[in-house]
Amino acid sequence: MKDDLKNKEYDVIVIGGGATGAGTARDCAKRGLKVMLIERLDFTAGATGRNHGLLHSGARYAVTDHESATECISENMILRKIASHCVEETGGLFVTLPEDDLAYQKTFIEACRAAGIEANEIDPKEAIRIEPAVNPDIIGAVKVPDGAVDPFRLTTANVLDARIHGADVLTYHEVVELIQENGRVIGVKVRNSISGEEREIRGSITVNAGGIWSHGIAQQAGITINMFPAKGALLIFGHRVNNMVINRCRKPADADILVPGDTISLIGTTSSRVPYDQVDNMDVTQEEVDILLQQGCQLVPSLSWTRILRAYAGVRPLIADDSDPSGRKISRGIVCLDHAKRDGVEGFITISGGKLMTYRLMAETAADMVCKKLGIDAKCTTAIDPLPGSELTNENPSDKKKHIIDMGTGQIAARERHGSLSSEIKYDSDSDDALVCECEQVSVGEIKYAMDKLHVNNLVNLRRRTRLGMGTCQGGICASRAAAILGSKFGNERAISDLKSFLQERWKGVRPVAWGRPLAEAYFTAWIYEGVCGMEKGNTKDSNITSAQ
Amino acid sequence: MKFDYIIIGGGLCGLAAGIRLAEKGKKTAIVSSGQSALHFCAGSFGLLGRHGDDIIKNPIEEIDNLAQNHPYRLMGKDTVAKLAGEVPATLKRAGVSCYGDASANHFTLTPFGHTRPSWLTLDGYPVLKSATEKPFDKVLVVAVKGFLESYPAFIVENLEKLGVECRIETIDLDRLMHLRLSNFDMRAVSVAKQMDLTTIEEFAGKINACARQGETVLIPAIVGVNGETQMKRMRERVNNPLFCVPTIPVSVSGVRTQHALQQYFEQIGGTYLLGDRVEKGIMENGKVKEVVTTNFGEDHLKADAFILASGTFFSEGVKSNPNGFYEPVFGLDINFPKNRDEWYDANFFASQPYMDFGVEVDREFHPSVEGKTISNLYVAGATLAHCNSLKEDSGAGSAILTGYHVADLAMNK
Repeated sequence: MKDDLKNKEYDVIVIGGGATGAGTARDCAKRGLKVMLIERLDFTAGATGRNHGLLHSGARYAVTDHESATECISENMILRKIASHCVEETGGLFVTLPEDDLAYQKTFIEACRAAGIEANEIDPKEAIRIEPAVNPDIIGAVKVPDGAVDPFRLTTANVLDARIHGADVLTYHEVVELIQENGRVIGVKVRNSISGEEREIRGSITVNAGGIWSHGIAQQAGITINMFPAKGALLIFGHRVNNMVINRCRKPADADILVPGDTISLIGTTSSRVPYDQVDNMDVTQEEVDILLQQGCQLVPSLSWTRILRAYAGVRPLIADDSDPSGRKISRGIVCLDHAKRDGVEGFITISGGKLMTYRLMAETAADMVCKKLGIDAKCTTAIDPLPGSELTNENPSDKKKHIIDMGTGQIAARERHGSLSSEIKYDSDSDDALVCECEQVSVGEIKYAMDKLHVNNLVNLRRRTRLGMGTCQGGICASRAAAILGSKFGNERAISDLKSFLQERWKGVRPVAWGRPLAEAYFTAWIYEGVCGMEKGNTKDSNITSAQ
Repeated sequence: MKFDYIIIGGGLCGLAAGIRLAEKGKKTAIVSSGQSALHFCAGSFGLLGRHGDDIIKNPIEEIDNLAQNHPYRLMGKDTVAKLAGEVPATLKRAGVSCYGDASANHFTLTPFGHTRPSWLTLDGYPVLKSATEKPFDKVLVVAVKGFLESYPAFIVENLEKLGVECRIETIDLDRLMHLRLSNFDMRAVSVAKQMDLTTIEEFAGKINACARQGETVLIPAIVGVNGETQMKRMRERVNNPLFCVPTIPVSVSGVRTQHALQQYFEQIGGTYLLGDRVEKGIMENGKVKEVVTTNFGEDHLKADAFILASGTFFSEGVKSNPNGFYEPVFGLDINFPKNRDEWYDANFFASQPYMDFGVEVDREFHPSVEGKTISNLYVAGATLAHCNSLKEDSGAGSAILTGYHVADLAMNK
């Protein structure tokens, strides 16, 4: 930790580097508060980075949960404006299959309209024309304003804006203790996850935005938040199968949403309760893969022969409804707990429930409570002011400087990824244009930018900031190149050991779907790193025992 | 079209079998769909480098300790030794010079600077006596500007652990300036293709300008994609001892070796059908009568005997789907557990069960379909079951030696 942080007194400490925590840090910083954002691993390492990346129109909730639906459509319209470089306005379809009840479509459209969601029934033939991937047997189709949102970019942009407004940010720091004095949380003790070093950080208010881990954080203050960890598994396909979000028009169920995102498509999710002590080990099972594939193929038949890249699972931080004495009822929507009122602990609040779509509103709710507690009257501006990267792109100096035809493919891809911030990427020499990741067109220059500006400590961080290793080779080709660049900053021994962890992390997602090309690709990767480069084997001891002589 | 022998797969194994047959005057065709695992070649060939956790000093003597159904055990220790002894001379005839002995592994360097046991190491690549002793006193590791396929800093990191004094110099070559403008082209083989005589002179000159006395110079393997002369020229011009360190695939040594063997096979009368693919075999009375290929279509290729050397997962010699593993041309028998979870280990670097899956053969290397042996079909190389060539460092050895062996079996029938 930097020495100048040592004795700083913060107005607010935000725990959790997901969208909600980053959004809360941004909101508080923009209201003029002194903010410290703390993440135990990396930004988006929890549920933020493990969902559909769906810019919900709210239609999915319209029938069952009016309040969530209303929140979603309102945030949907806001994100299109403030986070344009993270959002893709694909539009969405709710389709009815022959085995579904077409009568539900009418209920659905009415509920959407009641929530303020534009929902228009279209002829199934028209639906097939505008989205050729959809199952041609559909008997009904409704068009809604769904889209895709990149949660990695969105969170990074919030962190950057918090920093621009003076926030301090720590990744790889775990809160190990909520420091209390006279029934009040006055700060946190953090442990550096890499060095093990512990430090105290003081702040007037501490916001617990730890997602599913909020449970454990609150426990440090002796507070019980009753959480229901709900695991959701998804599959990523190797290319973009559909152009519009495709949903099943029925009561929400397993694997009924296919979202196009960047270069790929995602099917999900399953839903199963898991014990809290398992939330750090989310392996996708054979059964989950089979359900996702089987259901997905009903929506889009071509999924049955489309290459799968990997499987992953996140944990929804569902929270018990305090109004229900049995503790078994799950709260809908956003939950913002003032632990002074609820548990008699001052200076500590928890923001949870909600969803990626409503992260900004959650942040606003939390920041409002923080300001109220601090007695500060400051207005929320996050619904109006664009995030860094989403300012009007015709002001982008890199555009003025260069015609697109003079830009490397990596530069063009970087502009898509970082929006107007791509002008900060330096292409000082012709080596900076060299592509490290061919699948996702990540250049040396972009990696250097991410290392300098975007809190990159390892290859997994780099993947989340740039998409390096997210493509069809799953890092097989590019990981070593990127590791060498990281090695120049963090040392080569660390870079090589990080490379091993990265390959292991990629295998975790490939293993549940390792047949056909993904298996061939994993075998290829093993050959490169073990067979050719001699990793892992390099440490094997020299032995005389097996030599017969 | 009718041949004595048709080989399916034109990688190291298919070429070894093809050369063996063509050298004996047999009318032989190889059907190759394109690139092969030989393109992974990192400047050396392993016969049996490891067994479990142990590094093997004498591969031949270790064979008796392998599992009963391992391809080397099926061949027998003596046959492996005899055939292995013939390999360097055959490679030499094809224009590939190498150093090594099957009864005493030596070591070579990987792209990360790890040591690796080797049976045969190609000329120009380092030959080390031991995995753990200091191979050089002082080393100059040469980096090439803008080239991302070699890892000078990693090489230094690992060589320093062996007590070698290392330093890195970055060299730029005029000829690579335009390659760097295209962000795809700074790859080993593309760079090697730019190495004309002038560039070799420039490269050697720039090395001489920075190499100090007593230093061994390690360059990335970007020289000699077309043959061995270029590396010879480099070594004549550079004042210090000079070696190539392999890059990540596609490798210069792999492309060169593939090309040399292919050319030699054709010189001695073989037919190499490049860019074609065998789609299926047509059976008659428990034998393969002919094969259907993409390019020849209705015109089926006939032969007295067939050799399947189509590689494994990456080359699609063995394919898989959620229900299991299969051999796509003939539907040959492969054993595997039904439960997908038993195909893998959660640790990426562990010995993965699937790596052992492949075509089952009898002692004559004949495969079967639904338990019925096919008497004029032989299987060799990575397609075979019970040989984890990645873990054993035995990929090249098993490709060449089982290739030779099935060629001999086919000719002696």
